[in-house]
Amino acid sequence: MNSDRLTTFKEGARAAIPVCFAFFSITFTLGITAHAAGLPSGEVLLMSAVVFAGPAQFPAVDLLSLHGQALQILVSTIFINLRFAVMSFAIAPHFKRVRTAGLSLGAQLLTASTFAVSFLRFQQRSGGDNFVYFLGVAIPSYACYLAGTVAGYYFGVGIPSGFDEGIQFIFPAYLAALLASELRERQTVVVAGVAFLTTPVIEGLVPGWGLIVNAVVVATAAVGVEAWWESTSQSS
Amino acid sequence: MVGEHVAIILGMGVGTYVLRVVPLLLAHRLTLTPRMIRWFQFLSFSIISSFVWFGFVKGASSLDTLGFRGIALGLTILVAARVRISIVGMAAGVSVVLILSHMGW
Repeated sequence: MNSDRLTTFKEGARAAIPVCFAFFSITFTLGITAHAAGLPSGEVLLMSAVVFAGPAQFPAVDLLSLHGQALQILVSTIFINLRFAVMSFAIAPHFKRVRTAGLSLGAQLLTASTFAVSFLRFQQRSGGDNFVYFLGVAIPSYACYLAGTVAGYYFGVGIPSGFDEGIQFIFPAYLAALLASELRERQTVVVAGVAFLTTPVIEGLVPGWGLIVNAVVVATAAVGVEAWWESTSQSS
Repeated sequence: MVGEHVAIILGMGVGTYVLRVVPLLLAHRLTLTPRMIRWFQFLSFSIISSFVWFGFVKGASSLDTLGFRGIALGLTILVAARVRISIVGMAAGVSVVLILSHMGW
């Protein structure tokens, strides 16, 4: 790795520090849940390593302790993780110069947080080092994710009660802070605000699909409004 | 049973990986117009905002909890927008949740 790439990787790794806090807290809770469900530590660690998606892992941990739930676990995993398809599609334009082999390996490290941190950086500065930056964010985050799983499994019972609320709030607080600190353009602030407010409405209309449907509807409406605004401005 | 569990876990991994890699490789080969790039940009911000909503609601045990989470989220956004450092905003919000939950809200 040359010095420019190393610098970019380190920049990504620094940006991953809050992600590490968020991931560690999420998988710490997952480790506690898996221990309580009676799963062996190797299984929950393997799940964190190959799935790397908290929202799909929590229900799976519960269902694995029951028998004959294989199909339900697999189908629910696919549905819960459909959001990754949308995120992959959205971030792909920033990885134009990356080889297929590199993309195939890096794809495993795409999560909501690694996507959000990388995407917001690409809005300010985008170039040939995008993928190196993404790996700088994603590799330490992945390590924290696995470390949190192990720590939660073995040491989770020692955590004092009352910290649950704080731990569960880390993830939304982190993403909200990231948006608030990075957003500059008025249109994107409006889009982010509208998407936040419409999520419960859309989720109420299409339960389980709120995230994907809401994102598509809001983005399409925003592009439409922007195009209309531009054409109106040009004609007047 | 251990073998069955491992098979299920590997199945979860393969399914999730396919969702991650296939769109990435497909979109990677496309040439996008400026309007499509803009759509993807808005799509990304919408996804992140929706994640904030789901994380905000998830784990809130009652309306009271949701109330103090709302205060904490507002403070998170204000601090982060003011200082432009995400981890400071996050720390402010999480601190408020911890303090208010210990006060019995």
